[in-house]
Amino acid sequence: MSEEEILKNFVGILEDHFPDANTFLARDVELDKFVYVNDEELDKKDEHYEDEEIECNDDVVKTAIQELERDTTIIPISAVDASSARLGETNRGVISAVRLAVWKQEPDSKPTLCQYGPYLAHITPDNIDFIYNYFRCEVFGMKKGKPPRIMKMTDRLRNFFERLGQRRASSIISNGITLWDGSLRGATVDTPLDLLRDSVEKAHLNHNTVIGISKYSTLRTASGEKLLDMFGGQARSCIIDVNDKVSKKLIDQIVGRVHVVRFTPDGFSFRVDVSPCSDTICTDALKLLKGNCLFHNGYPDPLRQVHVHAYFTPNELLSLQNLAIEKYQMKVLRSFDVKRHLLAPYG
Amino acid sequence: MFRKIGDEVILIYNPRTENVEVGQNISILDEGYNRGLVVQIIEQSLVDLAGILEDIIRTESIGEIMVKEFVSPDYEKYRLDVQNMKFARAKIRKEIHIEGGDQKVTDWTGWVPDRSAKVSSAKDEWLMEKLGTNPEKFKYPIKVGKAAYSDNEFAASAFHLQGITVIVGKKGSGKSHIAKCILLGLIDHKAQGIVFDINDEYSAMRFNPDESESDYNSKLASLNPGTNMRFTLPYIGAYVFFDVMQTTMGLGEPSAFALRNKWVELENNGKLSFANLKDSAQTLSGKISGAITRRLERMHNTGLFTDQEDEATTLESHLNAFDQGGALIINLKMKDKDTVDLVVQTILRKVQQLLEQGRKPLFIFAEEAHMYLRETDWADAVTRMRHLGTYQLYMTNTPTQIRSLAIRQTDNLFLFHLTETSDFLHITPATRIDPETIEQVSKALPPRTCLLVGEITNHYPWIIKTLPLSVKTAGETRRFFEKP
Repeated sequence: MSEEEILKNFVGILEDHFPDANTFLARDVELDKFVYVNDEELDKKDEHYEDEEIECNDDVVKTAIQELERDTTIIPISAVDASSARLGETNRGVISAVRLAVWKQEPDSKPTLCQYGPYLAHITPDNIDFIYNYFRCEVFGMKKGKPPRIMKMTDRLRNFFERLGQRRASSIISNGITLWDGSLRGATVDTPLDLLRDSVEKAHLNHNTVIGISKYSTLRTASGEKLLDMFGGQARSCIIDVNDKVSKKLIDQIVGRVHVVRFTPDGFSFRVDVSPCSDTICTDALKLLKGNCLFHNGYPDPLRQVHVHAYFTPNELLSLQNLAIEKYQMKVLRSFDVKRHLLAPYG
Repeated sequence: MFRKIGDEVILIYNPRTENVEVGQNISILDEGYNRGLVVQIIEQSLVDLAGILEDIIRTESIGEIMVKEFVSPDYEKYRLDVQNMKFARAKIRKEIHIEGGDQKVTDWTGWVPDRSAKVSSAKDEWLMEKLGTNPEKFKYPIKVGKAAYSDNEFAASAFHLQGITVIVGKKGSGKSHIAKCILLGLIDHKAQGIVFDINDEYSAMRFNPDESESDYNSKLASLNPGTNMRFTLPYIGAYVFFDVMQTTMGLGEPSAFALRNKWVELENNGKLSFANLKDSAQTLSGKISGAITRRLERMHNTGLFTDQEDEATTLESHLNAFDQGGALIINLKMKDKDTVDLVVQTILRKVQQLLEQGRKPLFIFAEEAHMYLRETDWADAVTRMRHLGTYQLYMTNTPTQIRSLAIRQTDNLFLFHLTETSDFLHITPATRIDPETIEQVSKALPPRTCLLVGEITNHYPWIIKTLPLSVKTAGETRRFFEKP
C-alpha cells in the first residue's frame, strides 16, 4: 500500500481498533486563550533537550560565517508536519487525536496542502501493541517492538504518522527540496536510525534534498554560548556549517550535515540539517530554498503552513471530544483535580 | 446556563439541536431547591472564542493555496457545532416556586439556580396560566395574533384594553393590521369605536377580499367630512364651537367674546345657523368682524357645517345604530389641516360632552395622532377623557411624537420593528420592563410580529405574530409605477 493510501485509510484502521469504553474524563480545554495545541512539545520536552544537546568546541565561533545568497532557479518544494493531542482518559485508556499536513509547491501551479485527519485513536492495554507494531512492521518494515507506556503512545503515534508523512512528502516531488520539522537525528527514543535513513534514501531516490529545520536547539559552544545567537551582530542572511564540530558520537546519528542558518536578515536563526541528494552541495540546497520560499520571521513559509494546518486549536479539541463522546457513547465524567481539592488555594 | 449578570443570564446552546429565538421564554428549574426562573431571550450571538478567531483567520488567510482534507465526515459536523455555538442573553422575568408539586410563578427575588439546573423552553399555555392571562378564562377575548414560537393563538381581554394602548412600529410592520384586529374584536363584543383614519384604510373592512360585503359591513360607517359628515351649529353647541374657534382656529379672546354674544342672541331667537352667524359677525366692528369672518370662511370651506337639517348628521344617531357594536370611520385622507383639526376637535369635544351626559364608553383609534392632537388634547385625552370612558389606541410610526404624558399613562404597548434608539428611549416608560428588552427585541422583530406588554399580558412581554383577517384590510395608494 502506498503512503497516500495508508494515510487516507488510517481512520479505518483506528476505528476498527477503537475499544468500547464506559466513561470519558475530558481534558480541560481553555477556550478563551489563543493557543495552538500540539502535545508533542509537552511529551517530548525532555527528549528535545536530550536530542539536541550537542557538544561543540569553542573554535566553532571562529569558523567563517558565509553569506547565504538566493538561488532563484525554480524547484519544487514539499513540507510536512504532524501534531497530536490527548483528548481525555477513558476507563480503559487514552483517547488521542493526530493530524498531518503535507505541502507541495511546484513550478507553474498553485501550492497544495493536504490535511490528513484529525484521526481519533483509543489507546488501551488491549490495542497498544497492535497500533505500535502496525507502524513498525506493516508500514516501516521493521521488527516487532515493545510498545511504550500508554501515556507516551500518543506522541509515538504522532511520530509514526509524521515519519509516514515525510515519506509521502518526499515522493510527491522530484528534483526538489523536502522540508521536515526538526533535526535529522535518528536512534532516538521514538525513531530508529534505520527508519530515518530509509526515509532519507527514499527522498534521494526522487532526487530530493531533505532539509530538517529545528525550531528549538540547545547547540552551545563549550563556553556555553548559544550557537543560534552567534549571528547577533550580523544584519544579513548567514550560514555556518558546524557539522565537523559536532561530537563523533552524535554525528553518527544524524543523517545529514548540521548547519546554523539565518535565512533572512531580520529573522531568527535555526539549526538546519541538510541531507543533499548525490549531486548537490548543502549550501547550494539552502540557497535554492531561500530563492524558492517565502519566509516568516526567517522561517520557511511551507513549514509554517503545515504547522498551522496540523496543530489543533482549543475548539477543535472540544469538537473532537464531542465526536468521541457521541460516537462511542461514553458517559462523561466531570474533571476532578484532587490536588486542587486538597491543597486549594495553594495547589 | 453559563453566567448571570445583574438581571440577565447567559445561556449557551447548540443551534443544530436547540432552536432559540429572541422573545422565547425559557424555564430554568433547579429541582434540588424546588425553585427556578422564567427568563426571556433578548439577544442571540455567536460564542466568541479565541480559537475560533484563529480558525477563521487560518481559513481566510490561505489565499492561493488549495487545501484538500481527508477527514471523517462526522468530524466536520462537530467542528461546525463548536464553531457555531451560540449564546443567548436572557432577562430574568419571574421566579418559580414548587410547592407540593404545584408550580407558582412570582416576581423575581434575586435568587439564581445552579449551573446544573434544567433549562427548557417554557410552554406558552403554562406561562399564561401562571400569569393569569389564560385566554380561556377571559370573558371578552380578542384574538390579536399567535404566540411567535408556539403558534398558539394569542388573545387579549377586551377588559384590559380599557385604557391607553400604543401601537408603534415602522411603516408596513403591521401596526394598522393589529389595530384593525382589535377594532373588529371589540365590535364582536358589542363595543363602539371611532377611528380617525388618515389613510382611509379601515372602511375597506366593510368588504371581504372578494369585494362581497363582510360581516362588519353594517357595523362600520365611513364618514367623510363635508360629504356625509356635516353638523349644524345647534348640534355642535357653543362649548365645542368656541373651543375649536379659539384653540384650533386661534380666535382671540375679544373677538370670541363678541362672537359669543352673537351666538347667544341667535340661539335665543331660534335662528342659530352658520349663515346667520356669519352675517351677524359682519355687523361687528371692522377689525373683529374681519378676524371672525376669515375664520368662519375657513370653517365653511371644510364643508363640515350645514344649516340644512336633512344634510346634517349627529354622532349619537350613528352610535345609536351600533347598539350591537360598531365603529365610525372618520376618513381624514387628503383633507386639509383645517378640516382635520376641526373634525377631530369637534368630535373629541362632542364625545366628551356625550360621555359627561352618561353615554356608554367607547374606544377611539387615532392613527398618527400627533398630526392633529394639540398639547392640551393629549393632556385631556389621557386624563379626563379616559376617566369618562374614552379608551384610546394610538398607532404611529413616529413614537417620539407621542407626548410623554401619554406614554407614562400607557396601559398596553404593541411594539413592532423599530431601529432608532431615540424611539426606544421614548417608549420605554410605557412598559414596566427594562430598556434593553425593548431595544434588543424590537430590532430583531420581523414584519407582522410585535412585542406586546401591559395589562393584557400582566406586564410580561410576549412576542406575537399578527393573524390574517377575513376582511379586506389594505388601503389603496395611488401609484405612478405599477411594478418594481
